[in-house]
Amino acid sequence: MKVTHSKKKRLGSVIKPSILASIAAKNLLDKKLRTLLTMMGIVIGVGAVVFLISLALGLHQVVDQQVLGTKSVNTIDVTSPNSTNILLNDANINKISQFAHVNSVSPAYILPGQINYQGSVADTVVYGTTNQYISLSALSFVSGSKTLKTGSDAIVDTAFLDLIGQSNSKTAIGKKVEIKTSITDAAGNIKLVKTNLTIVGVINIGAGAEIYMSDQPFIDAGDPTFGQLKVVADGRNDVAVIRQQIAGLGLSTASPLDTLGQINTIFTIFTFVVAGFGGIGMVIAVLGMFNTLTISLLERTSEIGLMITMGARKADIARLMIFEALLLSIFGGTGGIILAWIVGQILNLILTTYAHTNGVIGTIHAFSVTPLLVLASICLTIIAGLLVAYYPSRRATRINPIDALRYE
Amino acid sequence: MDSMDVKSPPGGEVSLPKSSSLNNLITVKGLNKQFDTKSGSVKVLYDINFDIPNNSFAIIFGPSGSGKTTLLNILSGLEPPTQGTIKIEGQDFYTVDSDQRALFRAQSMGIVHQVNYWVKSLSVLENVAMPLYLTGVEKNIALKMAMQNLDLVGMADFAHTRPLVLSGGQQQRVSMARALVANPQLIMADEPTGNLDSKNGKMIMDLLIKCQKELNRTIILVTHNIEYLPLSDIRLYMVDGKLTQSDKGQHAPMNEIISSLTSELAELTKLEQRQ
Repeated sequence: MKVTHSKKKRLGSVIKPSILASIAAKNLLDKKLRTLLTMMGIVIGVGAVVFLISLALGLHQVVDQQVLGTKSVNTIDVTSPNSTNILLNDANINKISQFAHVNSVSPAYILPGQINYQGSVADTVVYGTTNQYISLSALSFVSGSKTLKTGSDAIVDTAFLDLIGQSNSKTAIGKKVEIKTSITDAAGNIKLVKTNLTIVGVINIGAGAEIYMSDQPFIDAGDPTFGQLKVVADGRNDVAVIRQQIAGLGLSTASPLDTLGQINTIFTIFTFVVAGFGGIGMVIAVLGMFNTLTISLLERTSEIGLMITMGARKADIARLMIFEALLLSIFGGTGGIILAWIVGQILNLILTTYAHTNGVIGTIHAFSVTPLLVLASICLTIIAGLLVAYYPSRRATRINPIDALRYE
Repeated sequence: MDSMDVKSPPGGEVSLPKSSSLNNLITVKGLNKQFDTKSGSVKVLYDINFDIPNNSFAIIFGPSGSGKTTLLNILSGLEPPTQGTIKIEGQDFYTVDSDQRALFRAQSMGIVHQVNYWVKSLSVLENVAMPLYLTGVEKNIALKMAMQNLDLVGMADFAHTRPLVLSGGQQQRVSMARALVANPQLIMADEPTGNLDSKNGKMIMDLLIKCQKELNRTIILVTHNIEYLPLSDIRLYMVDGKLTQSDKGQHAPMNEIISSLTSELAELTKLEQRQ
């Protein structure tokens, strides 16, 4: 039996953490109603934060989908701000292709044209291009083929069909139309390009009449200038540098990342605002937890005194209080996350069902509980638990056991 | 002076005879304790000196307010002295920090209080296992040892009940089991039979005697009860914070002490009758 003399060495807790956790759980269960009410406060507080943030995240995703559709964020649209002096020609295409991290360059002629269908004539926008450009354009296909298989294939939009009196997109497939456009060749001569095409696919753009056809007739006619390029970068992070390089050629660029950036800014602010509202509930829950732990400490002053007389160290007492706070916060936090998820899923189901009755296809995820949100919420509740435990545990370690035993 | 004689100058050091087989477990020198309150300082212990050898049965006795419990609190490492040293096996107990004293208490001291204190949310079994938990013993081993000790005090049948539903005598037996569970070298009991009937009181005292005689433990008992004095090897008599006498039973002052305690008891009885 020796007293260990070591002034520098600080003794930590010796008691097994599982035993401390078990004692903490029994202490909490000893006051079931109080523990239940405190935990419900945390469930509501954390649930409110998670529910509102999941709404912000869900709406963000919905808006992203609506704005971007299936567009690749790696794609850069290139146009010429001055089509007279700065040309989107083969020379510039070659230069752009040489830039680092450029995956592909897809040009398209964009020309005004005329439709001639069974004697009736109407105006349209003609895209003379490749299948790669079409796939990068993230078009919303209604029926038929999504690609041009031959030089005489054409993909048209529903507005185009309206002009030729074909409101049914399925029966329009296979109809033959004549398209007339004029181009200017390298020598400056204006040439008429007349092409007979067969409709193979229908898209819905929601704008005026448009037709996508092969670029070969315009190349054959000697048009050296394209209307637009779609440049695909290797990765999202390469887009900014490539855009700078393209701008260096005097060309204009646009990227879905521009829109995405604006949406992100708006939704970041929105997320903070809703998290702030939810945070009010969280603050009340934390105060409730603090109150419970402080009262619990006062009620158990003599018990803590007893534990010290039996050989409990400061670390043991502090950890017991911390375990109680963590049990409250982790179980309450988990309950809050589950509650928010369940309510969000029910609302998603209701919104989707409502949307389906109004002809909208697909599932609406207005509430999105992401793994990151779950992780962040658990971390938040653990941090809250530790902060709440700080004062009672500090106070508990300062209890004089002799005074504490007289306390009862 | 034979080996059982004691030199005991009033308020001075008590020189206990050292037999070849008994080494001093506790050595107290120049111990003073003073409490500072708002209304001033109150000195409760004056220059206490004594030794307690290993495997002995020491009784601290004296009238109420004489400083017995304060002395016991200081010996158990819960109340630092204002002045003086407490050496346990030659090592100064108060030069180590409170955590190290706590660890020492958990491993080597069993304390029995007059009033029973419990961790109310835990069962009798887990309360008894608590000193083992505090020394880092695995739960299943601790519970097994706790059950053995409850069996020793005849309380195994109550292992899974809450301690507060037990009678005072039963609680004190469980408290004894808790004090013994970590197999401590030193057992300190502060009037453990004070609130018990004679039957339960005898059982507690028998356990303490068994611990000393059969398990070679050192016992320090604080008591008012002069009936227990013959059981002890060492008697430390305290009056007004001073250790006035100590003996092994041969000294004349013991008669005075008994006389003093008897008078005090008579006064208390009269007071009760008046009320």
